[in-house]
Amino acid sequence: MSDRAAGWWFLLLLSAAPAEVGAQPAPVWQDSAGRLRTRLEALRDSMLQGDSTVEEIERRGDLILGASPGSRAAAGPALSRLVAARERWFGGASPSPDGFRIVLRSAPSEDRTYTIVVAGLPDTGRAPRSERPVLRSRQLAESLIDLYGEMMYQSAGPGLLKWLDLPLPLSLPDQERRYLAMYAVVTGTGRAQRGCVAGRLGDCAYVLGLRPPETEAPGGAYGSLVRTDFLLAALELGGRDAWHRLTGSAPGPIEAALAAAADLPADSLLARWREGLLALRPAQGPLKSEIAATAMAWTGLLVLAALAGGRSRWR
Amino acid sequence: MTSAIETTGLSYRASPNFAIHDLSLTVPAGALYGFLGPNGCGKTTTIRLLLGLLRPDAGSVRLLGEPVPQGLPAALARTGVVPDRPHLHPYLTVAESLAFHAAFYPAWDPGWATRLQRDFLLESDRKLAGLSKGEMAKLMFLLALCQRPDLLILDEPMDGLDPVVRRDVLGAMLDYVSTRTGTVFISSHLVHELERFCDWVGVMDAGRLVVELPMAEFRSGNKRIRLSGADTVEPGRASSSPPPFTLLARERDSGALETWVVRGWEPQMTGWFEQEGIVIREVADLDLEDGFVELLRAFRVGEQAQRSDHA
Amino acid sequence: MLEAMIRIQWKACRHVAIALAVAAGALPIVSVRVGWRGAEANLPRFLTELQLWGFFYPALAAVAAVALAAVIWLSDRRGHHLYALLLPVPRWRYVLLRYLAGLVLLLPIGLALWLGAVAATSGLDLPPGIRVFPHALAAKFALALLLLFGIAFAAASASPRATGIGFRVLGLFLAVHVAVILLRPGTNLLWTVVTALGVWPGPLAPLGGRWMLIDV
Repeated sequence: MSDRAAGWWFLLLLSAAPAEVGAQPAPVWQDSAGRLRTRLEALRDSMLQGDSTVEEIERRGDLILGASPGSRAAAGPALSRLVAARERWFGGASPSPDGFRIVLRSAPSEDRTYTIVVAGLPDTGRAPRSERPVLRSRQLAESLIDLYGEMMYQSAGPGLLKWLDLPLPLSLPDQERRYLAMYAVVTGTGRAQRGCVAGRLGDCAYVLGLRPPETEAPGGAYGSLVRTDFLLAALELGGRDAWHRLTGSAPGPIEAALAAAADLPADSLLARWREGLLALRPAQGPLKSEIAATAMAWTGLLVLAALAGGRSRWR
Repeated sequence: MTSAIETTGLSYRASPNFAIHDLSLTVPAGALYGFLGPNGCGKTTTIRLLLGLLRPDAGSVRLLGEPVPQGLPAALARTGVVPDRPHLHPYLTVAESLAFHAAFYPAWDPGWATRLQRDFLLESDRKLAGLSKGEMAKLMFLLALCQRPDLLILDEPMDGLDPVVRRDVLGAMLDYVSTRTGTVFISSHLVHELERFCDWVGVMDAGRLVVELPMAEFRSGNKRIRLSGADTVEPGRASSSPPPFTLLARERDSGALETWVVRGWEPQMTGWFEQEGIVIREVADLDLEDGFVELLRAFRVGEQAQRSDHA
Repeated sequence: MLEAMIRIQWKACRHVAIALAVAAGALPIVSVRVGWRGAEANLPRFLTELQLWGFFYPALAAVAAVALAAVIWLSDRRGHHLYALLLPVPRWRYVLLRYLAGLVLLLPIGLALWLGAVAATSGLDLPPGIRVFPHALAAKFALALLLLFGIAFAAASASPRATGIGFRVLGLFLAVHVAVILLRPGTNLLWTVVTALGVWPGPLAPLGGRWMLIDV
């Protein structure tokens, strides 16, 4: 449908407003305008749905995948990776109660750019919705996982988002995320940060933004990088129902919600997370003694092999 | 030790079409041994077998009394070799090449090396890659001689060299021979060159040793005899007594005259001709080259006949 | 003899050895100094990037080992080993002379890396929790260089017959690998073997692990 037609629809909707409008306070008017906006977006989404080139290609439970012809080849693998991430971190939960729809569209030109639309169901305008361009097909799966992750964090309520601030992309490989978090923790310079490394769990809770400081002049807290890692560690420890328990604890304190997710007391969760992180720290420098011994032994064997030959000269 | 080089029943198949057969040669210690043969007869292959560069299919080799390959390092320490092609490291200079080579030979004579380098006009800082064929040949000779070897093995050393270079290297070699009691084993297809200084000769053809004997005997025993009345005589047939010499070739000349080329001639053998009723008109010496050619011709005819008999 | 061999080998390989030494000296300096300016603001990111630079240490050791082994044996191979075969030393002794002289060539490369590592980490204002490992990294590089040079040298010094056998074995293994893939898709024999070689006590284990000049 063209923009002109959308404009006519807009006018039609305006005309469908109540005939008698009394004086309204500003907040009420803003709420009306907001709801109108979301209705228009839902309408546009439906129009997009009505785009004949986008076809539904797969359903997995409450998840529907549609794709335009240029993105169908990449759609299947991207969806598989999303489903795996969704199961792992969120126990298969959706950003809206009735499921959600993913639309993958490729640009008309051959420049391999795509658009991902993730929209909660039903399309009433109240369900969450997000859209993102993707430049390369190899980034499709990661972008889809990241977009879904963002929507899930948003669906957990303002408390979690405020605590996370700018969470790391969900598609970041575990090892990279863990090492980044370990580096941040181990190189922290504040008193509480050093205290957390030294094993004081109260300091760990403070620098994670979960509790007030226990000491004076505690220094800074860790940012979203470490907090994301802590959240994902709690979800992983808690198993399939971890996310459900976390959202079920809202709107309570974040520490309690995370402990509920991990199904552990808060201090136990802090201790296990800290130990797991510090275990990544190299025990010694680049050179391990057994590796050095191995290198010398193999070198000796190779030299013997080179010297061996006896009568078998070069002919 | 009476033999500098000794092979017994040496056999080696180089390719489907060529093989060394049952080669048994002996190079007496102190000899100047000329190893003759046409191109492709197996001279270089034989030398490679002597030096342990190739492994024989059968037979044995002893070099300066040492078995090859078990005693090869000890034998090579006393052997100077000039191979048929340049074998040195081309990125080195003349001086560097000399220094490297000298490190492996305790008997290295630095004084003689300096003299020869001067006589051969080899500049120290010249890179080997930039040397001409003649200069490289002189350097290889220098390296082989200054080791003070007991045995010199030279594989076609004069091949492709101009007369001036040939004179220089031969001169150095003869200097060496005159001052030491070493042995020289030199292979070549240029018969006239070896004739001048070799005192032993071994002739090879098609992978076999044709003959091996002192040079004087080879030269003196080869004669070209013009005779008449030999029409009905076939030496070796039952009707006539076996000749005391080896008939290499026989040609009918004009009229009733024939020319025979024989090997192993001695003056008293005229008696056999008288007995057969043959009149000798003339007995002439063959030079080494003619003798070599006739020898090979007779050998090949004999080989052909043997193959026909077996077939 | 060893001195003579060192001289000629240095002559043949000096350009390669010097170039590799320059690269070895520059690597730690470039890896640290390039990112250090922004490091204090974002240490985790700096350390992660430094981890990526770690790939270049074993890679440089491999390039150095292969290049030197190839150049060492180049002249002999071109001459079909004739000169070596005519020298009055057994083959094993000649090979040992070449190897020991080759080790001398490795020295400047290892030394350059050590000096570069020390230079790269000297004068750094290190935040708490951060340690520097110039000596350990240089030692690990030296061991990797030694190991890889051993492999390359053994391969380069092999007779044509031994090289042929080696290639045939490799070819047979690749054929089996392809057959296994066809019969059991998803099975990667090549990856299994490479992984086994790279895990302690496999021969390639010294090349793995962390190659961090600066670490936590």
